[in-house]
Parts: sequence; structure tokens; C-alpha cells
Amino acid sequence: MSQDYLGEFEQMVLLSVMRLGDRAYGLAVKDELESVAGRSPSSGALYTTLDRMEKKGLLESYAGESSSERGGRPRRYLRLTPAGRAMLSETRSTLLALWEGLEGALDG
Amino acid sequence: MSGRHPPRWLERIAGRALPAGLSGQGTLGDLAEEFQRRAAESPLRARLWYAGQTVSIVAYRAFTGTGADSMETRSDLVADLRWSFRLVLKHPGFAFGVVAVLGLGLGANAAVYSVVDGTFRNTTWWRAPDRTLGVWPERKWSFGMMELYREDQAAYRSLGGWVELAYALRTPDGASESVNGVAITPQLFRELAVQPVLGRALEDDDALLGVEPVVVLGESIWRRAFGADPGVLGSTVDISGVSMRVVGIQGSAAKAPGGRAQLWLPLVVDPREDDYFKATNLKLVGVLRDGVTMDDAYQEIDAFDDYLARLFPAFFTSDWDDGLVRIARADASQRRLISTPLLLLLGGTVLLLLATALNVGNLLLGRAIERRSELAVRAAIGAGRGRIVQQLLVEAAVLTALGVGAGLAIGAVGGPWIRELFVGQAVVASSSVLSPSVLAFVTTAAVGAWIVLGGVPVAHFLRAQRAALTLRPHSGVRVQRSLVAVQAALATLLLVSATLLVGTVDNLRRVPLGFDKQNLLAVELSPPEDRVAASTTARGLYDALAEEVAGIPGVEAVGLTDRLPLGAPAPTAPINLASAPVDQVQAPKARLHAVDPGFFAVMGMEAVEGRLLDSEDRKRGISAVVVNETLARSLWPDASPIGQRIAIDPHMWSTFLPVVGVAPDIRSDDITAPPEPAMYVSLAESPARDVTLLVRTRRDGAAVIPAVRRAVTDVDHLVPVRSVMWMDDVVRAAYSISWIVMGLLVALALLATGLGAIGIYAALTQHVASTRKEIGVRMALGAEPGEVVGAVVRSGLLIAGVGIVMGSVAAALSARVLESMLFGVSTLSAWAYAASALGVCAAAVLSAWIPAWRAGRLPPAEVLRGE
Repeated sequence: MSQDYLGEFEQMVLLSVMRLGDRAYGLAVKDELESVAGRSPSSGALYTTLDRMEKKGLLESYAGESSSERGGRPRRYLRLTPAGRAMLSETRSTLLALWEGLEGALDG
Repeated sequence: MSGRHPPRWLERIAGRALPAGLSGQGTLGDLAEEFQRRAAESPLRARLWYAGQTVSIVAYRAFTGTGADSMETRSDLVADLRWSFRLVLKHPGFAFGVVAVLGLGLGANAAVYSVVDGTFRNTTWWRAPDRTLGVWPERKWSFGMMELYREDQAAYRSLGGWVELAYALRTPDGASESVNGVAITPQLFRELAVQPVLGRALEDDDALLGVEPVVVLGESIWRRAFGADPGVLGSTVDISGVSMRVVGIQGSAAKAPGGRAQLWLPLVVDPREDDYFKATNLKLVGVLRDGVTMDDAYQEIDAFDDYLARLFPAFFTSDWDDGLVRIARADASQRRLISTPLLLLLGGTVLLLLATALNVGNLLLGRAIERRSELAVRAAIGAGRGRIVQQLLVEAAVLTALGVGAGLAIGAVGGPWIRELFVGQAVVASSSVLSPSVLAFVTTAAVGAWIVLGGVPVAHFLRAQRAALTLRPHSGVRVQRSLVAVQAALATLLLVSATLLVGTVDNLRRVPLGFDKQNLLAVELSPPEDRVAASTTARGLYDALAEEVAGIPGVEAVGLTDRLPLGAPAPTAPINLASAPVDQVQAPKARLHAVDPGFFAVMGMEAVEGRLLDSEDRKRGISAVVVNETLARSLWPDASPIGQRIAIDPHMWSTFLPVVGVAPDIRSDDITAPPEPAMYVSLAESPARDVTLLVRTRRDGAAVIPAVRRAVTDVDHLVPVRSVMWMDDVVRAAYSISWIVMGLLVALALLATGLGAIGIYAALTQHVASTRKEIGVRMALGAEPGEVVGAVVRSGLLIAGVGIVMGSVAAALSARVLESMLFGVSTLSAWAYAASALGVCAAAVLSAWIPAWRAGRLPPAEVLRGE
């Protein structure tokens, strides 16, 4: 797995999914990205990324409830797989290692 | 339930791009949910948002290959596409140049083809062309005859007539403008292929006697004079002194009865009028009923013909057996005039496209040579040959596609522009560049261009591969040079054609006309029917006009004729000789001109023998005839024409008139033909409806024009001035088609030459770059810079020379295409070939000079050290 590296947007998406817990589905992720990270990705970008990460085994999805306002289509709930968690934590520790000793450097 | 739902068609597009199953359904659901949320604020914005999201989904799926299907080749193709687009963005200048050049080539083709298509496709004005017939198109119908036949016939579902007239239209700004109009049987109006875009068509009741006069305005005058104001509908406008209610706006059609008619009036037929049975310019058209064949219609009209012959024995003197003509065929003769010029232009643009494709192919080849090592490395690390070929082809396809876009934009502007050049000279129309046939043509042309510009680097790559790993730098250069030679050949071919046409136009310009066209003003007038109905009023009108205009300061002489010299050819009339009577079929014919006594003076014509028509004739009660030299020679080769007696009216075959004089030959009918036999009779004796006032002014007589217009209005404000033209311009108009084609071909030839020059420049630059070492060695061994420069220029000339030979051979072989357009120039005229060769050589030397000069300045030591 370590030859793959999470891109910035992928990290954000995975973190949003984690933060939302069992309420994580596409639109909620989008809202979360917007409210917390100030990013409003296009649908193309977001859903392509979700599909790609599911294909890589970082995410898994399951069907949720449907409603009339969704045209009768189910929600696609998302959660991290163990591989996804491992990847995220690996990325975090790599970044933290790189940041070590630099905490004050940007302020000066 | 709000009932708000994303647009279904967008949803369908997004759904198709998304993967099946939960992923796709979940995404569509999310989009629907967000759409609801946004629609609560603004439904319109929500829709726009949804459209944007759909585009982003489709784009992401296409470019990342994670769409519904992701087979390997597809993602290869997608990768190639992305790579090609990236290349475009990385070298925007190069891409811009390529797209501009290709766009020019494709655009010229799109423009000319849209005119060709428009002109040849819309073969008819009528809704049901297969069943629409011209009924005795050569016959002079009268309203009464038409009405008799309309009542009698059973073969046609619609039968009616139309007549073209000039009207004086008072525009909202108060000016009076002469506008061509068509008075047409309402039933027939509704058979037209183009119908009103606003308001209603003419209805049968509109043509009843005593109802309010109505008019349908043409779209272009509605836009021009009424500012496209829909409020015009229902209002009244003043047309030739009659207040008419506007009921509709007729859509534009280049092919309409009357060509450029801008007014459509119901043809009102009043049996109480004196001229009810008088021959007019009425054209009869019928649309056959279902199941009725043309043979049936023939039989019916034959029977009717017998009936008419009994009714009007005097009218049926000559052999009218042209009967029924399919309208489409009648149109064909009109189109023949324009077909050669248009097809010639299309040939020119196709050659230009070939030149542009070769040019771009060359540029891509140059780049392929530069990327030789990259391609070699990629081949070495296992990229299959097919992969690299595909990549090169995709790159060419992307550039071609961008070129098509530019080409369609150029064509959309250029097509109507070219059409407008020919309008007035010929019957032309243009199709939209987005019409299926034009798109199909442009696509075909683009595929051809793509094959050339993709094939060149591919062929080079494959050859280089075959030459294995020892890629010699010259391998591509030779290909490049032969391609440039072909470009030079195309330039030569186009230059020869253009030069021959330049010679033609020059010859036409110098044709001795026999009259002085300088400072001669031609004013076309269309007096209303009732003003000339009686010969006496007409005479009064003509005399008054001539007198009034003659009084304008700056006017030296005034004359009248029944037709504009070099406008439509005069009709021919059979001639019976008192000394040796003949029947009408065998009678010699001559063009008949009706003129007033002032005509000869204003044209600068003096009697060759005897005298010309004068105002005394009328007082003496003589109907005199003047013949021209050609007619005099052919009728009386050994005797004097003076005092001979001839009859020229088929209805009065034994009424002989004296020939009083011989006028010099002038070219007043067809500028390219030798003078024809012609005769002149007094306009007062045979009043014509349309007359042309010829006004000889002093030098710089532009100020006379408004005065002439005013004078005409003063004499009779209901006489519309159809046009005011300097005879100089009329003469030029007589060869304007040659002139326009020449201009466009010259432009194409110069473009092709420019492209050839760029090609030579590129090839020689490449050549100099790849032979730096060789040049360095030669200079180190004592070669002078001048020799190096000379060698490079010579190789440029060599390329051009090969091209000139190829192009000249091609020009000689294809000369027959051009032949019918030429006048006084042989298709093999040496000077045209010499001039073209010289032009291409000059372009070659100019474009070779820069790389040659650079080569001459190469410092030998540095070059050798560098290697």
C-alpha cells in the first residue's frame, strides 16, 4: 500500500467521511467539505474520487433509505475500510514526522 | 411534494456517464436532493447548477476513464486525447498557428460549399416542386386569359399568376424608396416553400375587388426600413400612393418569384379594365392535383389552347409549343450562369485546403523529427508501434477538430459574404454551415485533411522505424521537401488560374463598347401601368422627363431607351423585307431597341449613313427605323440600306417601315459577344413600361444625381426611380462575375503561395539546423558565406522549381475547367504560366533568404566545437 499516497483532496474526503460517522453520504460529505474546509468541489470531482477510493479499497458503501425528493433513489452511505484507516493514519504520521520541529518556523 | 425535479434529459445524460448500481444511483439521488434544496431558492439557478454538475460528471468520467465502461483501448484513447490537449496548452502559439491555418482552409471550403449547396439545393421556390409547373412560360399571358383558364382547368389544385413590379414604398422616415414587389394570386402564394414568419399569408379574399388593399412585407425590408418592429403588422403603409394594410412578414428566400422581391401583394384582377386581355409579364404557375400527371395537364391545356385560338385568332400567330415546363428545370437555366464560377471557386478552396493540410502536416513532421528521440525511447521501452501511431493520429485529430471549429466560424461569416458578392449578378443562396449537407462536406474535408496531416508524421515514424535504430536526420527532411514541392505546385496551379482571370477581366475592361461610358448616368424608371397605358400619356411623360432633366445645371444631354444598356439583352424581332418577303419562321432576326431621338446624342453615336431618329419624324407621321452596321451588312450586303422598307411587327407582317439611317455598332447587349444585328425604333411609337433615362453630365457630375431624382418626382411623384447608376459601373457589372471570381481566386492563390513560402522556410530552417556541422566544415575549409547562402537559396529554388513544373502540368491538364470563364485569353497563354512561375520563385527566394542568411553567419569554429 505504501507506494500509493493520499492526495490532499482524498485526505479531506476521507476525514469528512470519518467525521460524519454513520451520516456520511455524498451530499453530506460535500456539505462537510464546504463548511469545515471551505471547499466546494464539483460533483464530477467528488463522485469520481469517491468511486476511485472505493475501487482502491479505502472506502466501502452501503445502500440507505430512499425518499421522494431523491427521486426514489437510495442514499449511498460511506465508511472507511480498515485499509482506508491505515492509509489515513500513515499519511498523518508521515506528515507529522515532516512537520516535527517546524511548528514555529512558519510564524517567524 | 414540491414537484420540483431536475431536468430529466440532464439526469439521463448524467446517468449514462455514471457507473451502474449503487454508486450511480446514490450520486443521482444526491444531485436530486441538492437540486431540491437549491430550487427552493431559485428554480432557474438550480437548473443551471444541475447542468453544470452534469457537465462536470461527464467530463470527469471521460477524462479519467472511470465511467460506465473502461476498456483498455478506450482509456488509451482518452490518455492520448488528454495528452494531445495538454500539448495544445503547452505550445499555445504552435497550436494557434496550426488551428488558424487549418481553420482558414476548412473555413474557405465551408463558406464556398454553403453557397454551392444553397444555390444548387434549393432548386425551387415551391413547396411541391415535383408537381409545380410553369404554364407556357414564354407566353405573354393576359389577366383575362389567365382567368379563363383558371375557371376552365381541373388538373391543378392551385393555379395562378405572378407579376414582378417596382413600387414606391414610403418608409417610416418619410423617404420614398423603390422596391421590387410581386403581385401574386393568393392561392399560389400559399404554395411557396417559404411562408410568412409573422402574421399571415395572402388569402383568396385579399384579391377580391373592393376590399382593403393588403401587403406582406419581405423580411429584409422589414428589418432594414421598419427596424424589425412587430407593431408594423396591422398598420398601413403607403405603397405607390395606395395605403395598404400590412398583414404578414414574408421569410427571406433567395429563390422567390421576382428574386429579391420585398413586397407581396394579392394579384387583383379587374375585368372592367381596358387591358384585361392585354399581354403582360404575367407568369402562370400551376401545382398539379394528386394523381394528375403532366400528360393529363398537357391534354387539358391543348384543348384550352384551341379554345383560346378561336377566341383570340389575332393572338395566335406564332408557334407556341413550349407548353408546360417543370419549374425546377426552368430554374436550372438560371443556375447555369453561376455554376461554373462556384464550382471553380470550390475547386480552388479544396486546393487551398490541401495546401493547408500539407503545411500543417509538415509542421507536425518537423515536430516528429524533433521528438525523434522521445518516440524512439518510448518504442524501446515497449510502447507498441500501434500505440505511437495512434498517439500521432489522435494528436492530428485534436488539431483538426479545433480547425473544424475555427473553420465553421469562418464559414458562417464567409458563406453569406460570398453570397452577397454574387447577389444581383446571379441567383444565389447560401445554406447554414450547420446544415447537414454542409456539415457532411466539412467533415469529409476535415477527414481528408486529417489523413494528410496525421499521415505525414506517421509515415515518417514508420519509415524511421524501418530504418531501425540508426535514425539518419535526413530521412524526414526528404519527405518534408517533397511535401513543400507539392505545396509550391498547388500555389502555381492557383496562380495560373488567377492570372488567366486577371487577363480576362483586363480584356473585358478594354472591350470597345462603341459608346462613351464616362460621365454617363443611367436612371431606371418604372412608371405605373396607367401612366404609360396610353401611348399619348406615355409620350407626354417621357418628353416631360427628358425636358425637366435636361434643364438641370451640369447636364449636357439626355436620352431615353427602353432598357438599360448592358442590362438584360433586348428582345429580338423577326424582319420582313418589302423587297423579298419571307415568312416569320425563316425571317432574319435582330435585337429591337426603342429609343427617343436624344438617345444617339447622349450615347455619342453618329450616323454612319443616312440619318438617325429625330423629333421631326413624329410630326411627319413617319415610323422610321435605324439599323446598325452589322444588320445593314447582313441584309443589304451590296446595296444602300437607306430607303429600304422592312416590317418588324409579327402582328403587322406587311406593314413596312422605311430605313432612314445606319447607326454604328455598339455593345449594348452582351459585352463578351461581338455586336449583334440591331435596330432602333422610336420609343414614342412603341411605349415601354420600364425606361432608362440616360444623362450625360459634365465631368464630376455626382451633384446631378439628387437633382435628377428630384426632377423625376417633380414630373410625377408616382414614378419610382428603380436605380441610378453610372454607366461605368453598369459596364463593370456586366463582367462582375468574372471580376468577383478573379478576386476570390487571386486571394486563394496568394494564400496558397504564402503557405508554400512558409513551407519552404520551415523546410530550409530544418535543413540548416540539421546540416550545421556540414556547413561548419565547409566554411572551415574556406567556403565563403556567400557560397553557403547561395547553396541554401538554390535548394529553396530547387524545391520551388519542382513544384512549378508539377503545378504547370496540372494547370495545363485542368485548363478546360476554366475555359468557359475566359475571354480573349488562351488557357495555355505563356505569360500566365511565366508570371506564376516567377511569383512562386520570388516567394521561394524570399522565404529561403532568412535561413540562408543564418547559415552564412554560422561561426565555423563554434559549430565544430559544439559537435
